[in-house]
Amino acid sequence: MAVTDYKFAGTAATVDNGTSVDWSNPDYAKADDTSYASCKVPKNGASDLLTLSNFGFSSSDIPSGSTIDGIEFVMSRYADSDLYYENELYLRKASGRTGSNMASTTIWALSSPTEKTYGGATEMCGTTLTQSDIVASTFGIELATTKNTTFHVDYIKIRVYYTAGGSSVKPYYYYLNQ
Amino acid sequence: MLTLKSKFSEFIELCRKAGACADAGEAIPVMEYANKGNGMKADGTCADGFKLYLDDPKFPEGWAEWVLDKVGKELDEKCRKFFIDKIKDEMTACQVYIKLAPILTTAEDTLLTAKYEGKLPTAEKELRDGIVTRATAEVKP
Repeated sequence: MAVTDYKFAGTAATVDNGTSVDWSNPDYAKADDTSYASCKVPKNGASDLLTLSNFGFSSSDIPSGSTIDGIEFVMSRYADSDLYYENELYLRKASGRTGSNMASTTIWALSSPTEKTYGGATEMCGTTLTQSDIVASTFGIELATTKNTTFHVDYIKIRVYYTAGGSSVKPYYYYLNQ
Repeated sequence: MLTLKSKFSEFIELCRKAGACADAGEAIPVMEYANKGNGMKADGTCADGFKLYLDDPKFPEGWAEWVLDKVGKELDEKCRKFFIDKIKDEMTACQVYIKLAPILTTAEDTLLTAKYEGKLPTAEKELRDGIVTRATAEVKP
């Protein structure tokens, strides 16, 4: 089994989740730079979705024909009050939200960001993914939170565990053209 | 301890003392509205009020977690069941299971785990591995 480098999102957005509680500065969740996408959730409220996609995986990272073995992602996050946690955390692919809710029951750090790791080498997050799903610009993550505080996300980065497959032997006509 | 035969107004008072949201459109005024005969007889019982809450989608699921957390120990098991039944969201069920362990019965544990088991890979692993443990004492606000 091989693993890619961690990659950051190329695209970030706040997407209506029926709550009208937007994330401010969603683009700030695209890099490890201590700038934060933030969302102030009211009493009895919930945030809209922070969606991150276009992680930039290519066939150089995951060869065509590989089997995807697991997805691992890291979120750097904190909240302005303690005892708060995310409520929805899903992978996304071209068809939209996919798999299981990967949300953690661990409480978000108070006042300063802490990394939390999700998934792993053999964790498919309740879905099936192909190499083409992952190299697509639509592959990514979406996050929503609840409760009465402000949530901050510095970044979410992803890496992919895979087993290379397919043949590396090129057809004869490949060599004829060399 | 309140039972299903207790007056619903006693439940409202309990919530008020526990700091229930009293702003326009929030828990207390809406519950008071219900208690004035909207969908239940005036001066109704907790059974009347809780059924109204359970069946009407305009009453948010989030209140169930709040009620169980703040006044759950003042309600008997039959009362609490209305609020547990209102919870559909798997993450809310899991958090109630973790936070309110000291007041939950084995039957309530079973109801809650059935709502999230197999749906929360990260949370369930955290519980299995002991990264997150169930509360052993009352969680203070």
